[in-house]
Amino acid sequence: MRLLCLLSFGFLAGLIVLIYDMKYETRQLQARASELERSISLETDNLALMRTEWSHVTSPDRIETLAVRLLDSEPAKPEQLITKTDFFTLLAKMQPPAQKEEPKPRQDHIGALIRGTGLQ
Amino acid sequence: MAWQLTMLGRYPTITSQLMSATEQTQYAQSRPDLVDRNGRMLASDIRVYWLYADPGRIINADEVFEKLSRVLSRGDLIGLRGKLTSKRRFEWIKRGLTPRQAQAIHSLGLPGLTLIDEPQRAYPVGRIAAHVLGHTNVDNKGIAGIERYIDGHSEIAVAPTQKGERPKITLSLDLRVQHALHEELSAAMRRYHAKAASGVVLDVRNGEVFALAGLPDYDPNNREESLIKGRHNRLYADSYELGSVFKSYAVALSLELGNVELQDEIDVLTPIRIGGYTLEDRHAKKRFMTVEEVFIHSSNTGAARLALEAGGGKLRGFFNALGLLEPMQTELGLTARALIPDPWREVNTMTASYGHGISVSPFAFATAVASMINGGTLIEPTFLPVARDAPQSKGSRVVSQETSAKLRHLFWMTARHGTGRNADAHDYRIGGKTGTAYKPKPGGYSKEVITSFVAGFPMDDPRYLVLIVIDEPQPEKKGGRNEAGHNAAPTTGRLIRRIAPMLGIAPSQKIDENRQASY
Repeated sequence: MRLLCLLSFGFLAGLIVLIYDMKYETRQLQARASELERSISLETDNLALMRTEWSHVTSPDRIETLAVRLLDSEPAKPEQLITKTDFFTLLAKMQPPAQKEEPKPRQDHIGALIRGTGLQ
Repeated sequence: MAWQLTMLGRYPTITSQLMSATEQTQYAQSRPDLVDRNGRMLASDIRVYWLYADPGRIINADEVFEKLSRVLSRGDLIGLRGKLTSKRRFEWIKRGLTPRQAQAIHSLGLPGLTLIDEPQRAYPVGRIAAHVLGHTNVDNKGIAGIERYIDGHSEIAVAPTQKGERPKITLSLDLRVQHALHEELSAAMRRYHAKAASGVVLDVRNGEVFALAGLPDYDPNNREESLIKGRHNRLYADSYELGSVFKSYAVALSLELGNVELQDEIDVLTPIRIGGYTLEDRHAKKRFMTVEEVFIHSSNTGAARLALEAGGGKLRGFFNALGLLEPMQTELGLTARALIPDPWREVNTMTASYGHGISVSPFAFATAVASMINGGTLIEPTFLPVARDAPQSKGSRVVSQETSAKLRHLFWMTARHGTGRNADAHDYRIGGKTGTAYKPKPGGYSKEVITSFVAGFPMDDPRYLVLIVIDEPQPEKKGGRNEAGHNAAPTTGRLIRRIAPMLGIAPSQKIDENRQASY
């Protein structure tokens, strides 16, 4: 009987320690979870801000202003446009080049322009 | 008091109702993103900070004022000292601080000041689509345009599929087309020194609006601008006498009734006299014109004769069937009410045939023309995308297929050889009709005009309709002309040359095989 009492007392003490530990850990985890949730919502807001920023930066009027100022290209004329089917018809009719030319080193005109503006 | 407490304890729902009511009124609500038909963002919520003070907890109002004046702009300081020393326990100091300003105020470490973060609407593309999107008030509630519509229709928002995304609503607008329209209108304003210019691009098959703009407009990010006089959506909220573009209706009705055929001849030289009013065509080169020529060269007498033959009741009924006489309902609300002569006399039938004495909103007008050239079924304009598998047009029939085809031919001929030839976008097979109307003023008509050009393309199988309206254009060069053919038509042509490739309309050209093969 005495042994049983001692054993159950020991068991109880063990449980108390275990529960205390678990509770402590839970609180820690809860704090961590709310911290994470907070940072997720912060990042979501940041993402929304970035998307808005991106949309602003790539808005057509901005791109057009930059293109007019920095590129030598012109808007496409109707004569320059053909449909995809026509394109392949023409491609099939074209003669393959007699011999393979040496590939020229690729020129990056737009890259050169960007370098020229000193933005990089 | 005790009774109230007991009630609150017994019925906890009352408490939650009370709480939610205050929350809604006090704090800004989060709104879904608005994107165009290709997923480009048009409006979104970003987080901003609101600053409020509890004057009871402020120790030294002068010090707080001095420190805040370093961060806030001058305009925000008006009345600030009074707020800081007031007897109340709550005063808004500033709503809509940027994160940087909020951080600066936070690091001042002043007691009695509190920052809360709130969503605020941002329009990254600025004024390009202002009249369609509308704007919100400081509580982030929609008060104009689509923004107002979505507040009552939250079910159209698509829930996000993954974390970090926001609910969104897709509109039928195409940002690229919208930009092109906005830009061409502002170019037209400059070129013709016009008072205003507006335009719309819509799909003639299902009524989707691809672009709508009216200048002068405003930046929805700076909503106070919208209050300036004349910044409203003229195309939608105003009604105008549009002039000769209205001849489309008189001619369509006559063709539909079988009164005439395209090649029938009409007397355009003999003046028409009705009720003390005489109409004559001083510029008529010959006595008789075919119906085709009446339309292409825009003869008032010819159109009037056609309308009188059909009869006023029929013409009015036709306007009504096209939805011109009643305000039109879309997501942007009701269009302007048409101004119709009452009672309708014979002389009104005559003037209405060439677009005078009857005012309609240009938006309703564009929809009516689209319904006539798309094969003859009435469309319902919308700013939301129409499902692709939905029947292309389920509206009632307004004209027969044959009449629609004849009208397309007339529009095409006018843009090719008639008053609309300056539009110069033949590669995209456009067809259109010009209209120049003197502006009414008290007691008659002024010398200033409103010019318009309505065009469909490609005219062999119309997909899109463009309407451009220019208010008080001046001749481009001194001594030049200010009719629609010299301003609205070229503007429309330039716009169509820009947007047709974007909309997948290929230019019609015979491939010169010899030339092309040499590439």
